Amino acid sequence: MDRREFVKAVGAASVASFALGDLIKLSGVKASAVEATSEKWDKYRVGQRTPSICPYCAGGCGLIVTTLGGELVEIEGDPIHPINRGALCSKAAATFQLVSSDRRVLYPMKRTNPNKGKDEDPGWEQITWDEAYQLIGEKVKDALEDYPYKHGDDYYYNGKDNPISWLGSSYWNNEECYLGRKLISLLGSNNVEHQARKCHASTVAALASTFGFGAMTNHIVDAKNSKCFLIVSNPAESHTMEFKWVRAAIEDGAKVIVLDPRFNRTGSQAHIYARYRSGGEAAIFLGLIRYVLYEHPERIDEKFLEERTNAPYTIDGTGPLMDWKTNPDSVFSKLKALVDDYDPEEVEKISGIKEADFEQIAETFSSIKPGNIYYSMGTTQHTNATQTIRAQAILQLILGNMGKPGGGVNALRGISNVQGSTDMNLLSHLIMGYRAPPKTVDEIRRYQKWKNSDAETRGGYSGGATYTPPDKSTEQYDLRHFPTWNALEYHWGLYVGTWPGNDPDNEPVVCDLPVGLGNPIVQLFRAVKDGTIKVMICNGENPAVSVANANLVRDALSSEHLFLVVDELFETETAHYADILLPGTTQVERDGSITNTGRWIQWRWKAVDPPGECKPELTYLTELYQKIRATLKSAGIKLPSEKYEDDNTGVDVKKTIGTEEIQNDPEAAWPSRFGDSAEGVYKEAGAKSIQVGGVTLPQSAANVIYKNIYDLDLRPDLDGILAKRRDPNPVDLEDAEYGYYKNWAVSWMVNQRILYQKDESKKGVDYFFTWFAISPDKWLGYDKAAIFSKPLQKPGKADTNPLKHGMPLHNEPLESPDSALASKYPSMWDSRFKVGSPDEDLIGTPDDYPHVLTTFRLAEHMQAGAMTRNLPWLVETHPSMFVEMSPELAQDIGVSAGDDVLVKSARKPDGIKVKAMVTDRMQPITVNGKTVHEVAMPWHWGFKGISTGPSANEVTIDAVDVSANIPETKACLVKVEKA
Amino acid sequence: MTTEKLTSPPKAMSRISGYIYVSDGSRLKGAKVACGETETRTLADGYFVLDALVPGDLDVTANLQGFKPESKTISLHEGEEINLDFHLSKAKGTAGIHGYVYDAKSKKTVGKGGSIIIVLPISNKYGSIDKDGYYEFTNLPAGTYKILTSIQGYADNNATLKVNDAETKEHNFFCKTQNIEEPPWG
Repeated sequence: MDRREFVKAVGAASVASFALGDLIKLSGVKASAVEATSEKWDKYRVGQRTPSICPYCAGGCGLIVTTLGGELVEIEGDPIHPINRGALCSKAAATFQLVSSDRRVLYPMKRTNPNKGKDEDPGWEQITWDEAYQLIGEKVKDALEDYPYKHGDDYYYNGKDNPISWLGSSYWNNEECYLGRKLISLLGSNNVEHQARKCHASTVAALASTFGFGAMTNHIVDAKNSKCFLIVSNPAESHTMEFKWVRAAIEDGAKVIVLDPRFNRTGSQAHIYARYRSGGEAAIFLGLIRYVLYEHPERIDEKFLEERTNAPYTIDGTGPLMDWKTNPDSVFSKLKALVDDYDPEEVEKISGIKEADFEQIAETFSSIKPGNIYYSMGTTQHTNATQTIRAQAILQLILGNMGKPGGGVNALRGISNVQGSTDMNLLSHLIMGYRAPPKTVDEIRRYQKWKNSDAETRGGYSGGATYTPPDKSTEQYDLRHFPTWNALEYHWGLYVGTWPGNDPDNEPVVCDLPVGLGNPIVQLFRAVKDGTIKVMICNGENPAVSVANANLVRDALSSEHLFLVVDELFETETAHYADILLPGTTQVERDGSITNTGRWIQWRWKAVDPPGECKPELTYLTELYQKIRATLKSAGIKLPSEKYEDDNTGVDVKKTIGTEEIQNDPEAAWPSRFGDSAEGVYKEAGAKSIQVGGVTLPQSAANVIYKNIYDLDLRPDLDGILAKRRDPNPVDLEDAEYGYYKNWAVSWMVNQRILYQKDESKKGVDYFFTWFAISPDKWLGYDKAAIFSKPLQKPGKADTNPLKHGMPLHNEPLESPDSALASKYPSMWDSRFKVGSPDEDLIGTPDDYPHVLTTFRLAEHMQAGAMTRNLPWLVETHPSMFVEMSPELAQDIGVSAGDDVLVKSARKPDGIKVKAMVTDRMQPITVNGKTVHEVAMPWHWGFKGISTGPSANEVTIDAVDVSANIPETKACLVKVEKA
Repeated sequence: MTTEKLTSPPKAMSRISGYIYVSDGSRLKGAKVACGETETRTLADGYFVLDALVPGDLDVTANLQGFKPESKTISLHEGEEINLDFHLSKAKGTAGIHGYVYDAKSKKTVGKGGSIIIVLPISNKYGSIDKDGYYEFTNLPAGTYKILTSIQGYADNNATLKVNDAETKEHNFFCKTQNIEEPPWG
């Protein structure tokens, strides 16, 4: 057995420790190793088993952690877990090394080198937690010293100009994410972002505006019910256990179509594989829609469209039209007209998929139901990603593949709790449960009137001016957001409204929630460079590697005026620029819930104490908040409501709910009114019914999406924490057939396993939730999916801009390899609809940069490599950075496999030096009659860790999708040449 | 007979270290500390080290934009390390910057509020734009300032202005509209 086989066997053994004896025989290892292994076996036999969930991808696979006397003995797959059933991918199998690594940060440290840069040694010096908190409190106070809390007569903090920012983390538990959002909000800032902005922000924007919820519509195990897959992703590598259920479907006769610029591991499992040019996704799906509407209208689910979408209406809401299928004014007809141009010939020109292949794909997917679309970064990380995902969603609506087992538009999210962190809205444009923060004082004045309309339960002013919506659009907006503001007022100990409340139109606004949207990630780092951001607290995120145009991020992190705090497991590339580095903990070292890509909220239990001086993140958050709050208060920096009291002698800002007086007291509400533990915060986020002063709150859960996940009546044995349920038995025949696992954990909303499925057994929220009015006076009601999206319609835009139509079109990436296509299908980012980044001179042209770069992930590494590049087992499997290229390109530029090459872009004109991996996985493609070479790089590498290398994101482009602010990481122009 | 020419041994290097505080006891990050041609900046906790100094009577200066610079003279001997703290106070001046904010296309003043931000190392200065589109900063120390606009519906604009003592400079901003597409809510 050679070394590689031995490593694999060790990995396998960690999954099934009963095979340890077999391993010894297989490996032929020496006696000392046999003894050591026996010692481990002896501990394993008597050790304590604790369930957990994998920290890597968003599959939510179950782990069993074995400990003995506080010592970690083993981590393996949970055999009863419905998703992975004991199996693990290589990353999960290496979790033992993650927890026990001697490379972990073990105590707080401060920087002693005032110079920051990639080649500057930080000169770390150990400090105490108290010293760290003291310094952080001081810097926050200094930054906020002159930050205005008063604007005219109104008291509030502006959420965008606030100099304090927060990053991360999708690796944190839901409760920690919730408190992170709470903490930054209490500092008056909406400059908060995390990994979701860079991966699935376009999913949220697209699916929210089409269906109502911006998440995976079905769930992982449900894939077994599919009869046909259209996969625009690489789940065999990036979401390995999810692909297990695709394999189950294949064994049951399902067909798999894979579209990818690279022939990858998933492609190798496909019945139909088609290579396409990264950036051509929208054209492909518009072509598929056209194929159904024009070539096979009999496959349209007309009943579904008529009953559950806005297809039969006009775009101003008139209808439903009796003749909607032929009436040119119907949404249906307008869609049909819009997609007419995307015939197979045009799709080939744009995407590179040959006409015959495209027709085979279209025929297969549209003729077999239920059909399932799996997608991830290949679709989401583009300047037109929101539109492409909308096209995917519309295709599924037309085919009637929504709201049923085996169907759906299934976003494969990347990180273990990125769904949860998104739900908790660590985002600059949302505050909690996908509700926006207040954006204008007018909204706050309306909110006060809304409170007054039911003063007893909402804490309004009894007898004060009440709420009358000016129109349907405003009414729908208000009814969506106001209940969450009301819940946060209670749960966060705040005041939001006018004071005293009886004359909202003329009184001062007093608002403790930050007002106005903050800076999304790309703009956030420009704000750091500009000097408007002074403090960044970055937890469990590595933007120095993961954000497109990474050198701009590194420049920003090097800014003299920036005070950077990083909480991490290892010294990452981002931590390298920190002033303070704090030691984080792994998931087995603390309790909490996380939400997988299929919306399952699962509990993971603490199994071992953290090493060194590492603190559980909940403790860190509480101590940090308390220190910052105390420091600010002593300097007179307070909540706007407190400043109002200071400025108006005798005023005591408070509200009455029922018979109880509620003060504005965030300390009393921290971390939760249910107690200090993770369970306490969980209950606050997901309460079913809270009584205050004898009345029930209008919205009890702080996070409306999570409502009812705390239900003491249902499971008193679990203290009402439904995420702790671990019963893998089906509850009824339907559950058994379709694999709902209704008694395993809990999913949102209200344990609905397949979103929009009307007749799901023991259903939760089962309807399309597109809540916006189609015109100021018309709201079509719930359960109407939006083929035409009103929020995504801006009539003044150019014809080539899908925002003009409220329906998708194809648009080229900002850096397109073909100038004719770029002219015909101008980028949504170009000068006609420019939003923010990037700077003009950082945009490359095909003449200078003729090759198309896409990025991808490896099974053995995770995202920005912060964890996996510090683990020997995983580094051994993929030790170095490389670029994949076709043999044809290699010949053109005169390189052989293993040669050093430079990959250059307009962001990095001198290029990054990497090894050439020459492989048939990559092939040239014909785009608009021209041969285009695509190359691909994994994006896991950076300059820290056991394995180091240049970062792919040093060359990628940070132009953003205007609807989602997600960078176009998946498509840019480069030039590859021999080094 | 030859005699050896005796040479003096090189002087051992010396260092100065210390902290820079502001009046409320906070420690100043990023302040420049200079001694001759040797300079450094303070860490987040206000600490600095000037290493490899040639002994003698030395002038050490600490400064940071927004604060009054402070200088101290010390005698430093061979191989000696001296602790030297500074206490800087906020600078007050007599300069001013004011002006109007206009819509770049209509040339009308932007009368709907918003902020003007003067970027400083530790704590920015914030001014509001009144209903007539007017903004004003007073009591500024002489210096060069980066100023940004932050107005809803308009692209951020910026300018760099130098003002001397007792000088009041007018700068008008012409801001382009920018329709930020708000992401739909999930």
